[in-house]
This record gives sequence, C-alpha cells and structure tokens, in this order.
Amino acid sequence: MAGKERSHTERLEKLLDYLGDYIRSAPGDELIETAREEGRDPGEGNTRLKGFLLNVFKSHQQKTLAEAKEGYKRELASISEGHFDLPKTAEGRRRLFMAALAQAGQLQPAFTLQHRELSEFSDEDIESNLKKLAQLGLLPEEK
Amino acid sequence: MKTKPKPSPAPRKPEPATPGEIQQAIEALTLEDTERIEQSARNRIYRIGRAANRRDAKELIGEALMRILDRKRHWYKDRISFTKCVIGTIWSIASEWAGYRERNKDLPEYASLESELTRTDEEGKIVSPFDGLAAPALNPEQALIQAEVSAEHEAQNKALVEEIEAAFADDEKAGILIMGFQDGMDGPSIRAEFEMPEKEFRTTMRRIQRGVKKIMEQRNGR
Repeated sequence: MAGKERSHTERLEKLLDYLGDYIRSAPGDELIETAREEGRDPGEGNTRLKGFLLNVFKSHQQKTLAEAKEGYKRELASISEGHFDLPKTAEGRRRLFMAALAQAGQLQPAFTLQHRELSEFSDEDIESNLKKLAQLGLLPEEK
Repeated sequence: MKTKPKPSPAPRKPEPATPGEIQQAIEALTLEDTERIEQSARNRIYRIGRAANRRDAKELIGEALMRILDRKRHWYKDRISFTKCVIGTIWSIASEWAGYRERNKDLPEYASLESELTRTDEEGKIVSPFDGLAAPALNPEQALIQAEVSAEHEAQNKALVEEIEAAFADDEKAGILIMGFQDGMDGPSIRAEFEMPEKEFRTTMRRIQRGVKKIMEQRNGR
C-alpha cells in the first residue's frame, strides 16, 4: 500500500472523505447501528432533526410571506403616491382612458365586467385605473 | 389506410419541488434518513475543521434546507430522494466554507486560532497575522506568518492522525482500512487485497467511525 508521501492533512482528509462516502452509501440499518453504538437513540434523533427542519421551514415560509406582504405594500404605495403626468381635466383623463382601452382592446372586457358600462366610470375610477395602466406601461404616448 | 403515428409529446421539463412537497418530504424522513443526514453533516464539519468557523452540524443542515427552499439548490423529486439532495447540498456548502477559508485565511472571523500566532518581533512590536490585511500581496513577514499558520494546521492534523492511528493500534483490521484510506485506496480494493469479508468490513467501518468521532469531538471541545 506504499504510495506517494502525503501530508498529514491530506491523510486526514482522505480518511474523512472515505468515511463520508461510506455514510452516504451504507445500508440504513448500519447507520442506525452506528447511532446505537455511540449511545444515541435514533428515534429521538429522528424526532429532534425533523422538528428542527420543520422549524427552519416554518421560519422560511414566514419570512417569504412577510417579504411578499412588504412588496405588495410598496407596490400599492407606489401606485397611490405615483406622480403620473395625467391630463389636468376630467374630460382629458376620460379621453386618455378610452384611448388606452382602444389601444389595448383585450383589456376592455375586464373593465366592463367589473363596472358594467364605461360611461358609468367616475373620474376617481378613471384616475385610479389610469395610474394602474401607467404602472403597466399601457398608456398611449399622446395625451 | 394506415394513420401516421402521433408524435409523442415532448418530455415535460422537470420542475423543482414546491415548498409543500419539501414539507411533506421532511415529515416523511425515516430513522435511516435522519441518521444519514446527521452523520453526513458531522463528517463534513470534522473534514473542514476550522473553516466551519464554530458552526456545527445542525447549522450546516439548516443552511442546506434554506438553500433548497430559496431555490439556490433544486430538489427534483423524480430524480433523487430528498435525503440525497440534502446531503449533496451539505457537501457542497462544506466545500464552499472550506474554499472561503482558504481564500480568506487572514479574516478576523478565524482569529481565535490564528491569534495564537501573534508574537513580538525583535523590536518589541506586536506582529499580528492580520497586519497589513488590505495589502494586495503578502510581504515577507506576512508570508512567513501564513507559512506558520499552514505549518500549525499541518501539526494539528499530524497530532490527529497519530491519535487516530494510536486508538486503533491494537485493531489490526481497522489499522489496515485506515492506512488504505489514507493512501487513497477505496473500500472494495482494500477488501479484495486483504480478503476481508463484507460483514467484517462493515463492522470495522463502524468501529472506525465511532473512534474518529470521539477524537474529532474532543478536538472541537464537544
């Protein structure tokens, strides 16, 4: 088994790598036996590790949810506080809105389903929808 | 009249598991699975030594799960088991930590060990391994200190290797396996060369694993 001279660091690394490979591929009952020989209870270990992993999972989900909520709030704030260069008069805003719908005809059913008739839209409805359309980049260039 | 066979639909692109599927996989982990994960994580912590920077096996496992949940690592459940995916991620993170440590030997987070090398030079000035941290290249003194750090690392590993060998001095089979592994041989080759039956090989492996764990835990003060 005489090979090239290895440093002690390399020798230790090789031994630990081999043990690592053995753990990856050994039959499950061997690992259980190892745990018992080390004086550990595999059943207790199973409960503890699963509990730990489920806690990590839960924390991650809560963090993801909090980030999503934060993102939604930011989006809402950006829409409501957004300074869009909308026409000054209600009539101008209505014209721009109709032009946007004419340009993106596929959007019209979404609005008419919600509000029945476009003619019933109040100026506030139009302004808020114009802001949403502006956010989506769907407003025509000419105002 | 023969009809043309319909072309078979293109194979569906595999999708990484959803959070719900990951949760189910955690809940379904068997005793064997949790032992394999835990023993693998411990093995990697021993392997990377001080590059673990005081993080333990549990933290390594937690980090592996976080990366899978963050989709930095994907688990394709039709291809491999969740346990294999977690262990693959554990190995990869440990290598990453070791690589980071190798590139950043002088960072303060590794200070408690390197600080033993802080010394006083001929002029009575304290020389720290972190002196001139921002310098793009090592000056001769820093190179000397880094060489000392490497020498210290090698000396510590020499002590560990000797301790492991001494622990199995009276265990001929374990001694053969340990020497073989250190020489880069694999299990089947050693078994064939020394005509070691499978069962004997496995019980010897368990003895080695147990002995190495004891010695490595003592080193880590656990």
